[in-house]
Amino acid sequence: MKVRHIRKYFATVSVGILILVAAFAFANLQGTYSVPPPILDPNFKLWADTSTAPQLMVWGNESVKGPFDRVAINETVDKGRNAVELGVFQSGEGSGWVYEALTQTLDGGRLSALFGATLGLWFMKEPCHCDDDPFNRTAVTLAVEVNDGIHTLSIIFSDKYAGTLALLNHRIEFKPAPSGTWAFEEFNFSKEYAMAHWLLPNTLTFRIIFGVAEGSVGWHYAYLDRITITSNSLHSSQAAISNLILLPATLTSRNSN
Amino acid sequence: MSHFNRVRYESFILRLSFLFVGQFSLYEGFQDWNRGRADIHPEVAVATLLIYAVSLFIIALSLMPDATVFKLKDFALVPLVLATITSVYVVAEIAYKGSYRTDVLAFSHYAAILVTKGLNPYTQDLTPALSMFAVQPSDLTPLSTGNYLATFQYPALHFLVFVPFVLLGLKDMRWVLLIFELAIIAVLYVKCPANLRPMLILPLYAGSDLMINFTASSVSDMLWVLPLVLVAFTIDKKPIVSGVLYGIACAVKQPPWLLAPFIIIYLVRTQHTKGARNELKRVAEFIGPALALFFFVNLPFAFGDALGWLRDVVTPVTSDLVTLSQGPAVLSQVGLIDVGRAFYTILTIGVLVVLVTNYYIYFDQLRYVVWILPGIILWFSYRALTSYVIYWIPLMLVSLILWYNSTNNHRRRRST
Repeated sequence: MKVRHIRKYFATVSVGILILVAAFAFANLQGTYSVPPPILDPNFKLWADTSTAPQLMVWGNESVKGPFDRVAINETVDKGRNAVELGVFQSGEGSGWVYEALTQTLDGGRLSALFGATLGLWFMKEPCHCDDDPFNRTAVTLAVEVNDGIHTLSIIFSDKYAGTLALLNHRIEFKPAPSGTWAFEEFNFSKEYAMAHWLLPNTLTFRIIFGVAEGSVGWHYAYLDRITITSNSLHSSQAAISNLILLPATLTSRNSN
Repeated sequence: MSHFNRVRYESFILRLSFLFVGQFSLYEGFQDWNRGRADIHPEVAVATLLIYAVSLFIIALSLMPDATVFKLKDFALVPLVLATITSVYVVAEIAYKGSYRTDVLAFSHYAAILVTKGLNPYTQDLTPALSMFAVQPSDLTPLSTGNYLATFQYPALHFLVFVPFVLLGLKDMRWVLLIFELAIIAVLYVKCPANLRPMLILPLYAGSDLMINFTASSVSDMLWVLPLVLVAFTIDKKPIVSGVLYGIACAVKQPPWLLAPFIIIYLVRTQHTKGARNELKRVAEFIGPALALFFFVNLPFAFGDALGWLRDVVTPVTSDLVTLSQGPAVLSQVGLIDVGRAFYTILTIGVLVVLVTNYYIYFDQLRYVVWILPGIILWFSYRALTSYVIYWIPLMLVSLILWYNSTNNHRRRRST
């Protein structure tokens, strides 16, 4: 009799308990979904050995150059840091800049994650020579850029000049950064979009661009170590702690390795 | 049902099967002609010609006299096997240009190469495999940090199976997967009651993914399906052999591990001689050889770095893989609900417990359903890919054969 009763109700009861447990877990685990990473391979670790030259596997690679200019990407080590070396040879023949860029296109969850995070970049650059005029004939610029198809936001690592150049659909920010040594800068793209009064896009291309103007003839190099990703909620709590111990947040993040 | 009616019924089903086989093979032939660029690849042109010829023949055969239809019933395998081999070749070697489309097969092939050089794959960085086999970035397994999985995450037989083929100089291990796949068809066909051939294998071809696209894309699950098919056929009468085969399946990949509680219940509940001691003996006869085989294969690789080996093989559970699901977790991915991995893990464990307990309580009704239950459990996981579910279909066909045989035996016993 007892066994028959168990058999009669067991399925319903067990499924009922499962639903209750799931509902309890659902209620208590709200907000725990970890968004996908906005930037893939942020440490620039995955290299593909091609027959011609090494290539980053996950990152896209774009270049603009004349017939006598050259671009190169190499894996290297500097002061114990594994780094990507972006090399540009400006021949000076022709009248254009030479650009080389690493790119990733984001949409969906990764794009939401990008706008919900603060990105940081460890890099080493040459002097920019771009403080007076970013597009002068001798500029050697390393920049981070996002482009959503309508708007472009460029963050140029200048020598000393800090400021913003706002055009209709293009915003250029100059962030001073030291040359010849490893530097760290952070970017909050949702804040930048809000300041520009642009709507958040559905898709976006993230680029790290190294460009050399026609007057700087010869080989030039920029080095990238890694991109750090800090969710904005975590970032604000870190900043609060930094303020609490009377240290500027930027200083603490620069020193963190 | 009278003998005349039964023959008519079987003839009708057989003719329908022929039409299905003909239509499916024509479809694959056209796909191969298209994606295989038959205009510039002579071997594809010849293969598609053959596929079209045998497909048209079997379609015509479907409305020939009964005697001809029954005599040529096994011919249905010809278009299916021909289409399978051609399609795998065309997709793998022409459409994908020989590159692997999963990091799993690239890592496994590379691990087999490392073994031939005397190295332990569990202690090596496997990223060179990705460029060696031209794996696309979209086919890698990202972690939530944005980095990628670069360690071997399966038990050792998953690469050991490829070692002889590496030594033989085989360059593309998808042909090994195809051998396993054809062996599964052969076992199912041979073990299938004659009157159910060839219709029994048709569910495998309800769509091109299971038998063609996944294998051509380097999904390696056929490696554990074959030993499990043999487990299902031997578990009732040869528990020791069945245990060895189960150990082999578990030493290939993790999904068969989920079967363990269900198999133990199966062994206990199908024990004809009652008594705890007999039940325990039967379970031990199965589990003992399974564990022995599993550790025999894996221990040599765990000796040097036991924790490293353990960390690698439990990666799917412990590692911080990104959520990717064709199950309920897709609701989190798309942003409709905001619960993460912990919730889906609780849900998966809950479903496991409910299914195990219900399987025990309702064993008489659920006995043959057992082979799809791991697929149902995995569907609730935070990573639930179609391949976690679809590869249980050959096992369900085994169960269908066993159910059919059992009901036939029961009917025969009643009539005598």
